[in-house]
Amino acid sequence: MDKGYFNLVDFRANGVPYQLFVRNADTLLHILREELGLMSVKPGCENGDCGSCTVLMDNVPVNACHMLAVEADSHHITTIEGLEDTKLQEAFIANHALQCGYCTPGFILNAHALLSHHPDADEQKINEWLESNICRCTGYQEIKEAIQTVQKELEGNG
Amino acid sequence: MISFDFLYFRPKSVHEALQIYQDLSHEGLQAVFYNGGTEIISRARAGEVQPDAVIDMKGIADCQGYRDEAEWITIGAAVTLSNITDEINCFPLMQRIAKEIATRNARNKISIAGNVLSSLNYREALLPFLLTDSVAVVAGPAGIKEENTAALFANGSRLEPGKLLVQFKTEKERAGANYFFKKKTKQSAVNYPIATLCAMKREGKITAGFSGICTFPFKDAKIDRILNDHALTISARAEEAIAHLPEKMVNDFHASAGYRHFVLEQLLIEMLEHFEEVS
Amino acid sequence: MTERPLSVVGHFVTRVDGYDKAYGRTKYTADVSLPETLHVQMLTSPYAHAKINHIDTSRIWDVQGVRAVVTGNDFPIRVGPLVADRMPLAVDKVRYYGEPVALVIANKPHQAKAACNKIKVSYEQLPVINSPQEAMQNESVLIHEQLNDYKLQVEGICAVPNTNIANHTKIRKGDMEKGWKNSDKIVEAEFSFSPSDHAALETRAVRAEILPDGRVMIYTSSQGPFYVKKLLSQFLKIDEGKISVQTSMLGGAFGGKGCVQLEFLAYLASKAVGGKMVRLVNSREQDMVTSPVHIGLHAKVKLGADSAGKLQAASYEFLFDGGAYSDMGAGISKAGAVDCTGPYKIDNVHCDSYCMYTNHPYATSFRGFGHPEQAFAMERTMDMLAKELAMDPLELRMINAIKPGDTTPTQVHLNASNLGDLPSCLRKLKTLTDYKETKSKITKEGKIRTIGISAFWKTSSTPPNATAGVILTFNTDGSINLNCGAVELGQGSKTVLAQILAERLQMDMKKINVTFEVSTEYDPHQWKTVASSTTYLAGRAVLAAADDIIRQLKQIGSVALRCSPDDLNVGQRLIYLKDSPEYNMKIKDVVVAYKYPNGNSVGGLVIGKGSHVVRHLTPLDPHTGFGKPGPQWTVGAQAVETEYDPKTHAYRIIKAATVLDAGKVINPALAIGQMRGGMYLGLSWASRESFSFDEQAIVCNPSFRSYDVMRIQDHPDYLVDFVETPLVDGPYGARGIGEYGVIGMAGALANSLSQASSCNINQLPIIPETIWKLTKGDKQ
Ligand SMILES: Cc1cc2nc3c(=O)[nH]c(=O)nc-3n(C[C@H](O)[C@H](O)[C@H](O)COP(=O)(O)OP(=O)(O)OC[C@H]3O[C@@H](n4cnc5c(N)ncnc54)[C@H](O)[C@@H]3O)c2cc1C
Ligand code: FES
Ligand code: FES
Repeated sequence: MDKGYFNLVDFRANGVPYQLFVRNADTLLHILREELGLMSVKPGCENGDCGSCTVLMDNVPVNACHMLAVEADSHHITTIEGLEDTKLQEAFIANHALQCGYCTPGFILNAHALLSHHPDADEQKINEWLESNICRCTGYQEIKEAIQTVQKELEGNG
Repeated sequence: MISFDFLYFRPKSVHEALQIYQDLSHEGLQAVFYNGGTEIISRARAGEVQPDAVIDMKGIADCQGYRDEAEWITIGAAVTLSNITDEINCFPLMQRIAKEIATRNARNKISIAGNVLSSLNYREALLPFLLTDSVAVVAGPAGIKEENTAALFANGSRLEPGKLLVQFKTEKERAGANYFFKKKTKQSAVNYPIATLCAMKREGKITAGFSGICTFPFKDAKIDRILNDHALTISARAEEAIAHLPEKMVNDFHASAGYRHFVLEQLLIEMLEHFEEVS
Repeated sequence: MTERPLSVVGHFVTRVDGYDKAYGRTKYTADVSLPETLHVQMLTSPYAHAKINHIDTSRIWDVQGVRAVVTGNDFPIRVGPLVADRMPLAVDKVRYYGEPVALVIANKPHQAKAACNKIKVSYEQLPVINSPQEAMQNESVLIHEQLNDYKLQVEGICAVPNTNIANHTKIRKGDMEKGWKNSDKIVEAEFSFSPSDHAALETRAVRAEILPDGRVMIYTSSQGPFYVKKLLSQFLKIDEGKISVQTSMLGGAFGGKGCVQLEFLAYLASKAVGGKMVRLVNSREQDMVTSPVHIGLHAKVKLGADSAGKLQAASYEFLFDGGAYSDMGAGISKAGAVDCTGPYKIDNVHCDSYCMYTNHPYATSFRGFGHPEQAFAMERTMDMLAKELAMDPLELRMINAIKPGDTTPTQVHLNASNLGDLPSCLRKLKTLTDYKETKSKITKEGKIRTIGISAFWKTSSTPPNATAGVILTFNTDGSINLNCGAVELGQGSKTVLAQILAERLQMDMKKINVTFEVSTEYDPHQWKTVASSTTYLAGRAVLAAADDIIRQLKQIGSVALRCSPDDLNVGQRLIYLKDSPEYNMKIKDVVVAYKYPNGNSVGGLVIGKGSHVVRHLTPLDPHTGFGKPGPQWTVGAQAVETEYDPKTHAYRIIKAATVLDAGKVINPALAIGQMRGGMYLGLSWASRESFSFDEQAIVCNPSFRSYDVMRIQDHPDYLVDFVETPLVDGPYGARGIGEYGVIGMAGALANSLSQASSCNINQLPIIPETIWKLTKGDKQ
């Protein structure tokens, strides 16, 4: 029986394999920031309420604050540092869908996962996914417009 | 940030999970079963719980996935609420309820067992199991047992320490029954319910489940009898049902008892009218 | 300068910080993590009012990694911006739920937290003051027994000893008796709302270290790094020059990051560990209640008008819920008073505005600084008056709209430049929202659609010597670096300032590099980044610095091109002869000394400097309020359309509109974004944000789980338009706009829903239960 308060986790972050010895009680948020230096993953509440710590686990958005780092074992974690698609980033800039920028990585990651699962998401679907994320600066409409711009572009290309 | 340390285990089988639990108990250590962890992490951060060990159930095959068989649907205890909304189409009431709990990000982690056994008053995902008389597969030191959810979780009870939920089994025909569902919050959709009402109608009989009204989710035979009493008008049935709640209406900062009464009465009437129209 | 069409100002320009933010590369204060840093955790009070009998810290040493502990007695000095009334760590008693009581410093954050849990504090509960009315009425419970001995930090604050009054502002204008006599209709109403929170997504964070030679280094998420320096210097008795404050980008602020709180704590923590670098980051719960909040209010308003609807008299009593310490609350109560009438001409005005001490978390500035609060009460009363007069609410506002030639409550004379044009805003609002006098529409589903409107104004209550400065340096390629003390909170200031510079120098935006971080070590002094004052103050400083550059470039150019400086122009990265531009030289060849073909050099580095200070402000007369509180007023009009379900009292916000007299819109996209964001914040506040207190004044909902905020599915359609009446001394005519979208939202929302529900909704937040309670009376 393992009696230690630490465990080895073996996972990928943005494609890079890591083997880390982590404290069982540490959240994935903590490890990504303090051990891996992935500071784009933002703490906003550490209670699963605000979505600013959103990361993708095997392309599914989860709140990194509501997950132990040990649970990431053998999974793929993506943060915005690892997001290759830049359409969303450009659209957020062009649509003024960011002001202070603190919520932005979370929104973009969530939107990215949404569009990869549901490229033709309607407004209801967008709401369903992105209600996970709080923004205090914009009016949200800009964010929705940014996503819809990308959808149109994708449609145009496909 | 969680200030204390705990041991972490990821058993591969129910048997192993129980064994770990017992071994720890013998050493005087308190373990908790861990699924989505969304509640355990929050409560540990707030200092409300301080387990010595967590036993992560997600590696146990029996607790994972769902099976759609001839007469039964089996839902693993570790299945997430998002899995349910995305996949379990033969249980539409469950899908609806799951979709209105927390946020999508959270639902990607919240497990059905974690919600049913949550320390909060709400435990909304229990309601569809109550209404369908589903079976809970519970494992404990004495082995694996199938128990009726209504009896097992009556009056807000949860599992005895050391027992764990493996699966839920629901009769397919019941799962597909005609349903009504509405959740009312203080204001934003993402919040705890001040009143959740769901109901199903099978063989001409309505059965209703409630959350947010009392300190636990429930269905109640007496209330069901009232709701089906066609001698009474719809609004009389609603009034009467409210008069027979198993507990005083909750009165807290989310909503006053008076307002909850108002909301619930409207929900009951809406539900009764809905079924009246359908039939 | 000769007139030429503007090429950058007034145009769509992408944010200079857009890429960093969209790619997650912006570093906020807590994103810097240095290995040797020690971590601080706060122990906070579980009671709202209690005597501290004893603090036992002996057991913290059981926890591994603990380095030091600090309690109130280690620094029993009262601090504060207006009234020095708050010890950084409570001494003898706690006055609000969440008040910091002790700090533990440890190697790891979780160790510090574990150690905090081991501190035993023995408290003795005291009776609580749970509302500003109670604070006024209940004189047996004093929150600050020694108020009399407290040091007042600024002129014009009137704290009343042996009461719970932290500040009392009086406005006496005209002749009230005459005013009421001339009134055919009089309406009176009371308004109230609890404190709420800014809830910026980035929680407040700070790092601090004390270097061996005594220099104090502070890295903080503050809207006022220079202000932090000033207060630390004053209360810690350290020379200002020995304190360095650095601020990176802020993850939202909304006024809440102007307060100097955590900086004191981090300093004390660092001192306790021999000056080592320490880091203190608020949890969300601490950020909501331990750090300062958005003020609450109880107000009484009485308005009188003649039969034609002309306002004759107005009286106000504001009891602001400043919480346990006055911080900026005492300034907010004054700001609410000086603009109490809203943008209407009223000759007879009486106002008593109080900042009350209560046992609630203490308040600091919130976007709008007293105005969203005052406007809610005033704009609701205007609608009630319109109803009494059987007059259209928009019409009532139109005929009373304040105009050049009128005076403000503190009797400042207004002109077109310092006021702006409210009637035009109202007219545009009418078109924008398709406003009809037949107000409500009933939908097929039986829901009621209504539009509520509001008008607002605001002057920026800056201190009479508020300043900003700018320094411009060049790179050898001729591109320019803009250094200024304005903090980027998300509002886009850095972009707007770069635009002003690009315009003045006729330069491509791409050639302007803005430093995002602010350091009190190398940036010129700036008061604070608050009060919508940055575009005006720092914008003027940019213009002054640009002119300084142009003068220098022409000077050197005149030597090199053998002409008089007056013959030259600067633009497109060239210095050229006005009448024959083909005679020119590149700016890049001049900025690090011009080299003649023979190798000799003239000139030196070209460095531009500029500054601006607000002028002619005067303190208010304590008896009448007479005085000039701010340099200019910005006006505007807003509307909210709702769809209300009379059966359930639930509603949806369909549209929200703002028409603002911006003076000059420097960046349309940013300005629209500011308006939308402001409307969102105002609507979220008015429709759901509020702290719930139990009888013991404990906050029941200090987290996003139960502190409701608007999410993506709740947003209305936003409509935004501008009027441009130039502010004569504003940069390119621009006025401050940052705060304005918020101000009228609560009033407009409440007006819309009051019409729809046929009851007077005079309290916030407007949740279905609020309306249910009000309508219940009718039905029973
Ligand atoms: C933003 C947000 C909003 C929310 N809103 C709602 C809401 O509206 N309605 C509502 O009902 N809930 C709501 N919740 C609470 C949510 O229900 C709980 O966080 C969640 O149900 C816990 O599930 P989990 O799988 O994460 O459980 P865990 O945290 O893993 O466990 C919760 C409890 O269940 C026990 N447990 C878990 N699995 C087993 C098992 N197999 N056998 C025995 N015991 C087990 C654990 O020991 C623990 O006591 C919300 C949560 C969030 C984050
Ligand atoms: S920080 Fe994780 S959801 Fe808010
Ligand atoms: S841009 Fe500031 S929180 Fe969204």
